Amino acid sequence: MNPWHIIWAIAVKDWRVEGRARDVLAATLFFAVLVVTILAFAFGPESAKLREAAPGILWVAIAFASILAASRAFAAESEDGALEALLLYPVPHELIYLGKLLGNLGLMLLIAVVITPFTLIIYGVDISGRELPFGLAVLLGVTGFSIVSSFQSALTINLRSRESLLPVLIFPVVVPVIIASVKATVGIITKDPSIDVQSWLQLLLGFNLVYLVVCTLAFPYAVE
Amino acid sequence: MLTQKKLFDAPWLTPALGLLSVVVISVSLFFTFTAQPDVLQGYLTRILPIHVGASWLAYLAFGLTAVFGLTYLITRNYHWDRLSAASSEIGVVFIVLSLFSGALWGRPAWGAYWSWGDARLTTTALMLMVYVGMLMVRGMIEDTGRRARVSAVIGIVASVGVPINYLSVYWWSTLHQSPTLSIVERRSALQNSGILIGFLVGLLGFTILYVYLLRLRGQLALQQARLEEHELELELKGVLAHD
Amino acid sequence: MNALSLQGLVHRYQRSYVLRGTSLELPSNEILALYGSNGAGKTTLLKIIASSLVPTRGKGEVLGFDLANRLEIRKRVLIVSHSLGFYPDLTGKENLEFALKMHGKTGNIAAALEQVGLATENRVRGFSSGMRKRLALAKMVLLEPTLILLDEPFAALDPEGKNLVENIILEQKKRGATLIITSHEPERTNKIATLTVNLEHGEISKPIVPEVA
Repeated sequence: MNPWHIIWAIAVKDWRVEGRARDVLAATLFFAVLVVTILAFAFGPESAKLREAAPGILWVAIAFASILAASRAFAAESEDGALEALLLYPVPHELIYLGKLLGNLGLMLLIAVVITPFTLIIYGVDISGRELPFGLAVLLGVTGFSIVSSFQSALTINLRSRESLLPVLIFPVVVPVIIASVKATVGIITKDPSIDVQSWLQLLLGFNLVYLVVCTLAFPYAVE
Repeated sequence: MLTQKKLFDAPWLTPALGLLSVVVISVSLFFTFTAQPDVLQGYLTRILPIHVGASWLAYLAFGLTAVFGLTYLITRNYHWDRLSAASSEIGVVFIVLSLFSGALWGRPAWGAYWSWGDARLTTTALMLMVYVGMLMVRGMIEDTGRRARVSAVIGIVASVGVPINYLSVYWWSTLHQSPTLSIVERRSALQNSGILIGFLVGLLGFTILYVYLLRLRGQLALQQARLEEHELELELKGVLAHD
Repeated sequence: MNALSLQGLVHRYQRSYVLRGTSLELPSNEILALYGSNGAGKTTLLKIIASSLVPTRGKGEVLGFDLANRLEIRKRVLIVSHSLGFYPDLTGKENLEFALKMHGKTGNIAAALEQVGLATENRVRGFSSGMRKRLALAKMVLLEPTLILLDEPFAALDPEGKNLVENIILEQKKRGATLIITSHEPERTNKIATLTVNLEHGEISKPIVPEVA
């Protein structure tokens, strides 16, 4: 069996379920929009100040949305013993993690595609001519969140009060993603030469590779 | 399942280690408090042996939590899971002591209890969060097998995170104009011979303290497990004999 | 080769024993009826055979594979228990497509659905428990497992459904499969079973040939 087919089948299944129910998408997107809007009130009406805060606000929204989406994604799987059935298919459990990750990443990218322009527009940030590096930073950052939150969400499946437990497990691990994504996007927006955007993007890439490997290898032990 | 390690054999060893750690840490404190005040920081340096000792113990505990967890996953012997759990509990206690003593030192040295720019401080606080989360998860899973596996996995993932967190906060703070005096200042303190001796003896004392606490907590957990095992064993035998 | 060869299985759930030294030898191509009251350990035993649970103690072979060789066991064993594991927001057909893909197999989904009388494009969320059970039968027909574990296949079905289950079980046996069925209806189950065992308080009896009433 081609491992790609398995990963793809799981992701497509998740997208199809989401396309029907729209549980995760609607709730998460609404939540992210809410965070972006509420923080505007917290930082006050001065547009210069808001413009400066915009990248940080964007990443706070994406980080919270990612936790919410991952927690919901496995909750849907645990309905009617679906997770148990999924783990009983004759495929290596590493592939199941990668499939769930791809499914979650697809949803998160969709959310990012909506929330990023929304934030840039309402905070009056101009990135014209730099869309490509900016998009790359968003892609790498969202992937980092997805890798960690999908994994931790699977670890805590079926636990009481996992909704409050998940952030405790996810945030300390994703701090480098938050730092590097904010730094990189600030650097791209402000063109500040003191910020080495490329290094931050490399840090993100390194983080993603390390955690992708570690989480994939550890997943079978966690769900065994 | 109840494999006896030689380590657990001598009953006098554990209290002896406890006593030894008290003696060694007292010696460390004696040197620290009789040393000349530091040129740069004055009396401030006297907290260093305790602060660095507690931090060292915390990092040692967390490193070994992951090692024990990994060993459990390979050997599937609950002995290692109990040690891993004991080690993480000890680590949490000493990380709190480390952060607290660090804050007491930071206020006069940096002018603030907390500095986001200090990579060590920030990484240590993040570690505390991960391990508190791990202990919460331990408390929630009843199935012993799943509990051992999940906490081993969290411990391993968290230990991978420590250097990455440190690196990213370090870059974050150095590329920014945050104060990075900390490392220089701590080093200057060690040029004072009394503090240096106190500091080195303190490291030894805290290491012995860790081994003592690990044994104590590990033995307690072993007895709990044995008691449970014994009850279940009796039940199983009773039923089988009943046939 | 025996389909099943289990020795001294002990399973502990939290602070009590569900199985206390269960041993079972089952030749291939039999239909074994597994009887026992609620909480006797029937479902636990099936889950261990399906490699969904790891026994606390004991060893065994399923279809010649050691219990630890889960990937090979999972390729050949299908368990149909109370939670059927379907995705409520997908249609029956889509659920079956997914199951086939995960097994790396192909099959005639439409024919299987027709055989169990499920000609609907509705999502599983709207299915009654009887319809879900029929969908599980269709999955069984499609995947053609070597060993089939059915946890109370006759429960929650109308008489017509019960006959359907019976026919499909016999058809699977004819194909060469081995089946284990738990049931609370000995009258019905003994008609098709070739062997029966009793499981009480985690202890199992020797398989015997059922007396047909």
